[in-house]
Formats: sequence, C-alpha cells, structure tokens
Amino acid sequence: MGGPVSSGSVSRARLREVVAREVRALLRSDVDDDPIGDLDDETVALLTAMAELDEESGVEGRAWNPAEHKRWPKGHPQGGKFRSMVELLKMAIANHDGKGDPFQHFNREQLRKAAKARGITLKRGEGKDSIAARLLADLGGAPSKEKATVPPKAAKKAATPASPPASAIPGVTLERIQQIFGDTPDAYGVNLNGERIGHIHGNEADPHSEWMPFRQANARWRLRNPGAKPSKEAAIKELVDSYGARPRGPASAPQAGASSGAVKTDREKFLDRLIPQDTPSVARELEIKRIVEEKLNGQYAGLTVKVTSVGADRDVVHLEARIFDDQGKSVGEIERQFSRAEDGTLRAYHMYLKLNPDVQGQGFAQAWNGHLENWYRDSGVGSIHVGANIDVGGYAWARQGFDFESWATADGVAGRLKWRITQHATRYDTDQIAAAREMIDRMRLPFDDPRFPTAYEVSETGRKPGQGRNDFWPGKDAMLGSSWNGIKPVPTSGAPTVS
Amino acid sequence: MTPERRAKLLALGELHDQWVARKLPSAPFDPESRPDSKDYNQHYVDLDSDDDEFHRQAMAIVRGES
Repeated sequence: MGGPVSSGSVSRARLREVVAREVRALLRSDVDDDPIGDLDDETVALLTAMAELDEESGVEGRAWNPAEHKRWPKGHPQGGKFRSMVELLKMAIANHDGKGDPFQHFNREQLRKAAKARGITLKRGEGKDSIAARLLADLGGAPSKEKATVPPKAAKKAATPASPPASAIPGVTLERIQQIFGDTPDAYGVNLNGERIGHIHGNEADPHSEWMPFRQANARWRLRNPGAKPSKEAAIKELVDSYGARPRGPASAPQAGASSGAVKTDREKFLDRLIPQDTPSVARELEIKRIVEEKLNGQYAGLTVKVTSVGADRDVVHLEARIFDDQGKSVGEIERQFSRAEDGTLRAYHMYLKLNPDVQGQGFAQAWNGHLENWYRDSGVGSIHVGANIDVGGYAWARQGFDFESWATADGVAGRLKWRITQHATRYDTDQIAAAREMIDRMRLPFDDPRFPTAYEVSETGRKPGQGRNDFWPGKDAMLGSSWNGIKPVPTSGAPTVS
Repeated sequence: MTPERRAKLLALGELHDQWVARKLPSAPFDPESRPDSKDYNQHYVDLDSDDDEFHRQAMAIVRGES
C-alpha cells in the first residue's frame, strides 16, 4: 500500500488523485499491494522519460517525481549517460504507434515497479503486456504520431492499450524459444529465474550473435534447477557446446572495427565487441549490462560481487559493483572501466576498490583482480591502468608489474626520491644515498631510453639484502604514499612471455 | 612502450602472481600496524614481505639478466 502523503509540496489535484487511488485500492481484494522496493537505474530512466513526456504535454502532477530520484549527477564519470537513456526511451515511447512494444527491453518486475511508482493500481499477478498497456494508457501526453494533435487530457482518455508485442526474433518461433529458454512466461522479457533475456539479435547458430550468452545463462540456470526441462545433462552439453562453438558460414563474418591485425579468436575479440563503437541504443546498453553481470557477478574468496551499475558509451564501458558477505551484508565497493584507445587497443582502468576492515585479509583483492586479469587475457585487453595514489599502493603496484605510464608521472616520483635523500639523509647510509642519486640520474633519461628505470627498480632503490616490512630504504620511502599513474601490460591468451 | 619493456613487465607480473600464490596462505595480515593505510588489504602480501628471493629474481628480469 502506498505510504503517507505529504500535502506540503503537492497540488490539491494530485492529492485528490492519490487519495482516490488509495481508496480504490482498499476496496479491491485482488490488488497488488506488494511494496515497490528499490528502483534500478533502468526503471528510473523509464519513469523519468514518462514524467518528462507528461510535463511536455502539460499533464499535471504524477506520484513519481524524477527530481527526487536522480542518478549519475553532473561530474560523475557517467554524467550524461542517464540523460541519453531517458531521451532514447522518450523517443521510443513518443514514436509508438500501437504496434510493437516500446517497453520490450524491460522485464515485468521493472514495469510493475514503474506502474506502481506512477500510482497505477495493478491486479495481483497482472501480466507484463497488461502492465505495459496500462503504462501507455496512463501516459496522458505521450505524443504518438496520431496523438500529437489531440489535447493532452483528451489524449489520455483516448489512449488505448497497446497490442501485444510482436515477435522480437524474426524467423524464430515461440516454440523454439521455449525449447531454449525453458517454459518462459515471457519469450523475451525474463526467464523463470527472473533474469533478463532481452531482445536477441542474430542467427542462433552464429557464436558471434547474442544468442550465445543467452544460451549459456539459461544452461546455467537449468543446472541450478534440475527439475526444469530439458534435463541437466542437456544443459551441461549446451553450455559446453556454446563455449566450444566456432564460427561457421557467412553469419560469422568479422564485425566492423575488429579486423585490424592478426586474426583473433572469439574470446580475444570479446571485449572489443562488448565496448560500443558508437553511442549505443538503450537495448544495446541493457545487453552490455547483462553480459558484464554475467561475466563478473560471482564469488571471490568467500565474498560475493554483484554488479550494480553499468554505463556504456562510445569506446567505453563503466561499471560499479558491490561486495557482499555470506550474510548478504554490503561490505565493499568496486569501480572499473574498460575503454578503447584511439589506436584501437583496449584498456582496463582499476579505479576503486573498497573493502570493510572486518572482511579484509581473506584474499578477496587477489582473487578478484586475478579473475579480472584472466578475463582480460582472454578478451583482448592490452593493458591495465591504475592510479597508484592511495597509501601503500604507490609502493606495492610497482612490485606487481605496473610501470610509469608517462615521463611526467615518473618525474613526480623522482622528485620525491630526491627530497627523501636530502631531507632525511641521516636515515640512510652512503651506499643507499649513492644508489638513490644514480636512480635519479636514470630518471632524467628520455622515457623511451632502455635504461630508463622501471617503477619496480625505483621502488627497490637502496634496499639491502634481508630488508623487509619493518625496514626503510630510499625507494620504498619515496613511493609509499606517492601518486603516479601505472600501466601493466596484459599478455594475449597463450602468448609466450619472458620467464 | 617498447616490446622489450613490455616483455620485462609481463615477466615481472607473472613472477609476482606465482609468488603471491605461494605466499598468500601464510602471509601475515596485520592492519593494526598500518592504521592509516586504506589500501593495506590489497597489498599486505607485498608490504609485509621479507623475501630476498623474489627481489633477486625480479631485479634480474627488469635488468634483462634473465
């Protein structure tokens, strides 16, 4: 049931509307009175789009106020992305002419929440198509081509429920979809596990098409649900087959932008195909989110990672995730970004990882970053980038194979090294000071000179045999707490490296 | 990044991965010793290391002696 209504900031008309809905709801025994719960970014984008269409058509006061549900504010790395999703949704709704389904990429639960957030009373168990139709009917000013000339209020009365969505997969029968996904209540909304299926593009037999991750996700779901059809054995075979599948026939022709250099395997091209080469559609962005979730959600050293937000734009995919303990309590946060550089190489940016003290020391960071690096290795990422600027990371990243990204960032560390041996000279012996001076000289060389030191060599400057955790030497002192941008190359899958 | 430098860094990264895999199960975890280090948990294996062998092998790699 709806919560208390404050009359301080709402119009009388809206208050009457809300009260009337509450009364109608109370009088109905089959009303869906489950709480709305949290709204995800996609649902908020949908509600924002509908609210703005209302406003543009002059419809007054809705129960859901977009100003109270802001996402990705200005200054956030994804600032503006939320806006583009809203604009695309507005366009899809506004151009809706009674055919197809402008909400086809939303699942039933998202539409249910959106409808309830707009104050629409739903029947318990009401189907997705019906909810979609009621959302469209509730959208007083949605300016479809025919409605554009009708006054908003009249348009609201004249609005008719949308016809059921047409098949989203040309040439593929509903029967075949159900064979693949099990007895899905909604062929392209959600499967029985509530996981988004979305709009599937391409030829089912083409491993480059979007069918493959869907088949994998569904096969995994059936493994967890042995009673489902088809059998567990069939699900295993389907999962194995989907990973082992190779391009066949003309459907597997290389995609635009992926043809430079040597022929790459399916896995090596994976992230190249995932990162959009142009501004993605809402559908594509939702698909990217689903794929990222599938790749990264999971357990790492006893903690669970769940991707909470994915934003995609031309040449970039940005994600945020939360870390949960075995009780389901949120114990940390992660932020990562994948991008395509101007030269076409793929880069992974490790931007942020925060873990509550009570779950530290269990190997999570090692397990999580190890998983990512394996994924990068298989997916064609050329380098990992960090901002080695948090406390001990300034020293420790260098041991892991991260190097200075540029001469400028190395020069900052050279300055710290010089400062250390001049301001804290009594801390070191003459050999350590001589080693530091030699290192500073090498850091004055051109950045591409083979004698220019690696970050690791700088970090170990002046270290004496046996020195460790409780000891100090010029290189360690200079890099602890330092701020430098690090780059670590990623080997291509199976490529030989120096040992 | 030159191919030679890239190869050295890849080898250093591999050496580090193998070293962490060996050291992680028995690495001391003592955040109290560094109360101001927000990222101690990510790097404690490196930070609390007294391992000359890793240092010797790592230096050989970056100096091109391997």
